[in-house]
Amino acid sequence: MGSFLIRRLAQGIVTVVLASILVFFVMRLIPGDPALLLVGTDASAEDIEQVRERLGLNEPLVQQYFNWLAGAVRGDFGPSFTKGTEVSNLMRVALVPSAELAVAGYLFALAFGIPLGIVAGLKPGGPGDYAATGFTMFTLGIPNFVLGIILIWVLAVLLGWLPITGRVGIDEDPVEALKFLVMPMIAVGAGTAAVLARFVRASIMETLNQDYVRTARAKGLRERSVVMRHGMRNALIPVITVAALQIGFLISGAVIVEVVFARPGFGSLLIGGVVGRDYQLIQGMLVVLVTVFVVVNTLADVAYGLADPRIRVG
Amino acid sequence: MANTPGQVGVFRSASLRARVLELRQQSQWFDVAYRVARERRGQIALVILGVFLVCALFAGQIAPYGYDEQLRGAKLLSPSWSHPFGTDEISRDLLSRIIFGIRVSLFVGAGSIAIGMPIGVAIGYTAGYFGNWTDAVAMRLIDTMLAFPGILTALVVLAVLGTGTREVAITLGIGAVPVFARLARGQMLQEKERDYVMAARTLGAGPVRIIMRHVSINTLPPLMIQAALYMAFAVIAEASLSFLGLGASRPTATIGLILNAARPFLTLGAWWFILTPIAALALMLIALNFLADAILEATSPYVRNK
Repeated sequence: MGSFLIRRLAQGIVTVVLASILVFFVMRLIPGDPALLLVGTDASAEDIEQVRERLGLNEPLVQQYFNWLAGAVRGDFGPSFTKGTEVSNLMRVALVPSAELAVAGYLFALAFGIPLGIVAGLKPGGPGDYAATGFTMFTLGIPNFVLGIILIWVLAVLLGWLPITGRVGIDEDPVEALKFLVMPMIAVGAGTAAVLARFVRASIMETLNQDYVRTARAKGLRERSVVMRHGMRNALIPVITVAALQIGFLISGAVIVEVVFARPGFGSLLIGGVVGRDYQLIQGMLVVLVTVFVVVNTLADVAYGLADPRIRVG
Repeated sequence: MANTPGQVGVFRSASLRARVLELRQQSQWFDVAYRVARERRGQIALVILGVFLVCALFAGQIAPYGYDEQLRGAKLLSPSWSHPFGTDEISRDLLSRIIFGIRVSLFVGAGSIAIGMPIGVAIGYTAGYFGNWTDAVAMRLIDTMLAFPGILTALVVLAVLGTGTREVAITLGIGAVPVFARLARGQMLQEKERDYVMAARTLGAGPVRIIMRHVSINTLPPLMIQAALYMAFAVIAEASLSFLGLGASRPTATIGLILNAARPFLTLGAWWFILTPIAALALMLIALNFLADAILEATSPYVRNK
């Protein structure tokens, strides 16, 4: 297990470093002078030169990368070119609302998708199976930001149950905060819930056809114990990997959903960065997001190894 | 074969049946298309995509009005005979705008495949066939690109290229490269151990001939399925990006821009403004997913001869 862990960890670090190199050098293809963005167009040539010197833009590109990486490791991503403050400050402010939404969306996906998949898988062709198929079809045709718009229309405009857009902090007023969180949470989590439901359904159907399940039935175990002890435990192990892989897509989907619901967070920050071509901001945010993604995947692999001894031996 | 081709009563004339059979035996493309057209999901997909394709190609002739034509006294009208989908906030016919929007969606979808699939497949085949360091280098690059999930790759590239429909197509094309590369590599690793590759090599075929003439034909179905699924992703991504203001700019008609314009009018009860672009998008996405399902059904050896 130790060597498996180390190997997996090393792979993850290599991926993050390569991703940071990729983002850093691709971002440098953006035309225009960031110093100009920072001081404004009416600045004198000396002022611009001064800013270039201060930001280290006159150094060779490779040197700039290492300077940036050295800062990034310590949580310093340099100044934003358009927002007039440090990138790390901007991200710190955006982190809470985004993390709140991502966690809530993910919990919704797990709590809705996995039971739906189990019900569908235990009785193919039953009402649960139809519900799961219908839900999957719905999410195939309705992407997350469109689902957000539909939810606003039905739950906020037509029924008036929930506030349309915005956010209240959980620390300020927990009940209000949840009201604002419900719709974005569903919009962010629905796609993942459908993927999980479909996967769990297939996994359960496959497991219940295995020889050891037939053996368990043949030796006269009660159906409940066959399903729970022999079927479910084996069927749900591979779900760990699928569930973890979905986190990255959930986070990238949250970027758009945040904008639909006018929630502060990584989404509006990142899109502002793309529109303003603020590469310092974009590269900082992307490296953080990729790191989160890689860490989650690594943890999932480790958890999978813990849950299924066959994996870590190979 | 339970279902001998030719016995099927789709075609009345015997000579036509014979001709179809002959074509199916000659061309794998034709055979897959024929089987897809016999699946129910395939039929639904082909009809919807066919209609949308005609809309996209002949948008200028089919649309009753121009995509940016402002009509006198037709602000926010609900659906009627003269405007089946209603009109928008600045008196434009929504049916016409959606028809032009479908053109943008399909252009971006097809364009991203046209850019990303050949490059990705070429990288994947090469890495899989030659193995060793070629494979190691290619796979590191692919894994690094895949570390940017979903639409994040698109955001990075759009920051460099700037916004616009063509830029979005290129961006999503770049995003398609690692997806196809990884799939093609896996296929190649499987196929290159097969006897027919050995036979071709024994007969003196070089790598290019083996890849182009032998392996590529046998790995076609999974790549086609991936193409349909990636196209669905590209259509969603285009709608998202233009909704966010990172794709085409006003007054161009795209599904994303129409949705963005419609959002503030939800509270005013303009349901047609929001529902019609959603319906067009949903039909397109479901058709592409059905197409992927139908290709799988039509080419999977387990279900093929049922």
